[in-house]
Amino acid sequence: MTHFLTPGQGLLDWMQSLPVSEWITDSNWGFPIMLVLHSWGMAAVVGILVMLDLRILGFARIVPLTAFQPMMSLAWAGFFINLISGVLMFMADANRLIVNWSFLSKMTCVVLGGIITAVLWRRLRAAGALAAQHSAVQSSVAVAGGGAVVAVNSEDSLATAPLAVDRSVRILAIISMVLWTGAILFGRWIAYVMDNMILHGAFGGP
Amino acid sequence: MDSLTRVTLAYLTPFLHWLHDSRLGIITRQYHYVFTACLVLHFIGLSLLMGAMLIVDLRLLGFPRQLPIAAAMKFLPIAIIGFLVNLCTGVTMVSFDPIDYWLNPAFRIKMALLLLGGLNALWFTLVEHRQVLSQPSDQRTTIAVRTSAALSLFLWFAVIYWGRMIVAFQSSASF
Repeated sequence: MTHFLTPGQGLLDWMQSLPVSEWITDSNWGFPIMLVLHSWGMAAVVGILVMLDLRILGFARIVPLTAFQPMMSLAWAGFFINLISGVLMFMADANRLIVNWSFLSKMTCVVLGGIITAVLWRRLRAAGALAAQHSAVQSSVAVAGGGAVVAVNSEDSLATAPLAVDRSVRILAIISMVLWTGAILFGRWIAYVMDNMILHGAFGGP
Repeated sequence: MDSLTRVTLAYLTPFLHWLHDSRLGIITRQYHYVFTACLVLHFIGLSLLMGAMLIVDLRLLGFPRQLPIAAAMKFLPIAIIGFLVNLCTGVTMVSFDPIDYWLNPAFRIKMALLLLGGLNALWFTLVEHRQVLSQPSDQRTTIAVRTSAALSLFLWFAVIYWGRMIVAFQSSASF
């Protein structure tokens, strides 16, 4: 088969010949366990990020954006579970997946989704930093006036970010949700694009 | 076939046949893309449900403390929407071949876990919800609330586990 990645053929074959790949392919539980891990990871990473997107779009406005800071570590945990389980499942079937348009579309959605989320988070931080400067000015005024010193840290800055987020951030949130939905859609579609439609009997479908 | 399977099957057979012969079942078997679309929507519903439940349950367990409990609870409607999406798509997929699903041990375990999850949510809603909303945000939730939240997280992740195992347990994969 001629393909733009054909020069890497040796690499793909080597991946598939690894013991862990053989375990995923040949054992009864290797593949289902990987799918379970992938679903758990998805629940954490897509779940949390979509909640962040919905919050940015104006849902549950009383939730301070700062609350998403610790939640992001959970989203990262989910992402890493999916990175590891995803890489392992790719290695087990590398030669077929590298030419699977649905798999390649999913990877595009995941990479773009990650970039959009990073940009979105930076924008939020920037907005928060502006708010922090603002309250720092206020607190210095308060100190000058003999009032109590108000501690301002980066977490408070996100909390005091304006409730109605910037229009560009809201557009990023919509793009993010579209991309994660796309990742799920194309992820599910990988099996249907496979030559024989069934991979170890481990994909759902009629 | 174990006795529990036999007894439950005896009770459920009329309903399973009704679902099989229903308009929904006929359409699902006639147009395969209905099943495929439901499967995709089932994962989107899962993400909505789990995202919201992670925020609510973790907050009831005390994380992150700077988030007021009443604010975290604002995500509950999203969980309910996700659940309803998965209820509708789930029933549609089961209507494809209801008896085959009930004969699958992974599916029966998933249904049992869903029942437990539902009872846990009902108990929380009826007994604890009001008290949790009114309590000061810096105060620790009661042991009963924390148990319910931990149980909720455990049950939902277990539901995903056994949901994924359904196909692995299918003796004759009906693709």
